[in-house]
Amino acid sequence: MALSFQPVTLDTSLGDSEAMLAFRCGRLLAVLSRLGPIHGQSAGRWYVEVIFADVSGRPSTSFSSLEEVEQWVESDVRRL
Amino acid sequence: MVGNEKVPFEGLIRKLERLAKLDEEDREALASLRFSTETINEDRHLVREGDEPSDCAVLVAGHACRYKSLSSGGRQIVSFHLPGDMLDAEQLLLSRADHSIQAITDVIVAWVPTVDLKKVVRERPAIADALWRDCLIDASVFREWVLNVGQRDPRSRIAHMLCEFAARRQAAGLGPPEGAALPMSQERIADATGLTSVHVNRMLHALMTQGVIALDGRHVQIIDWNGLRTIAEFDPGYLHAVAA
Repeated sequence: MALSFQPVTLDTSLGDSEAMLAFRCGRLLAVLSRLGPIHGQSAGRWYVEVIFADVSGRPSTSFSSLEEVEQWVESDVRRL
Repeated sequence: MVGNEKVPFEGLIRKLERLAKLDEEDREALASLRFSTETINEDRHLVREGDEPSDCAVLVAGHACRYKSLSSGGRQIVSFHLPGDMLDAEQLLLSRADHSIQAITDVIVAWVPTVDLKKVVRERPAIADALWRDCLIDASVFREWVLNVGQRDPRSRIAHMLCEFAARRQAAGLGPPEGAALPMSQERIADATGLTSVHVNRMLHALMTQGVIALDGRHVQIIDWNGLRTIAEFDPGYLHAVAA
């Protein structure tokens, strides 16, 4: 099931303020942040700050693209 | 690695002397325990949950952790260990390991037959008192870790874990808190604090910005002990004689 995304800015001083709201069927499913330079090789990847669902298996901590986030949701994320 | 595998119980005896009044015969009984030493590389296991080991592990050099894990792969580190620690004293009375023990650096371990250790404990009441206190203090540390993971905010949670390790390290005669590179990686700090390694990285950078730690590659160095203690609200009372 496709997700839709809406860019937002997180109110944080920790450096990962570029973020995306992820919606499933028009309902907020997750808040993703884009990792900044302090994360070294992970900089630029998408990190799941919070998700309103059950996550089966070991959750990946970050994703290289929003498409990869969608694939993860499709395979591993169940409704609460 | 610091640690003399020819006299593997120096650190253990020093620790137990802080826990109970040992006399010369007690020290001799410990020093003359049969043992075999083994060098174990970082990440290798000393004990796995479900094992029924016939020997107890005394850490001679390096660092280890104890952890429990889920079938999904998630794990919770429940304690970090230093030279001089007996890693599984509960094996004296509980035969099956209910958690795993892993080397977090290269380590030297002295394996002591449980049957020999039991005999010494039965014959030497002061040693029995010391090991009993050691187990009770372990339980106190576990209670503090439940509070840490359940209630402290991420920054003070990590600061508290670092303070505890540094205080125990100092009490074990391994040097002052400031300046030492702590052996745990960010991934292991994450597993010990119930945070993701991404969030641990953020919090460590925040502590670095506050000037209380420095980051040296994978490792953390404390540069302002009092500042870190203040952030953690660290009161070592729960460590009892282990860090008195």
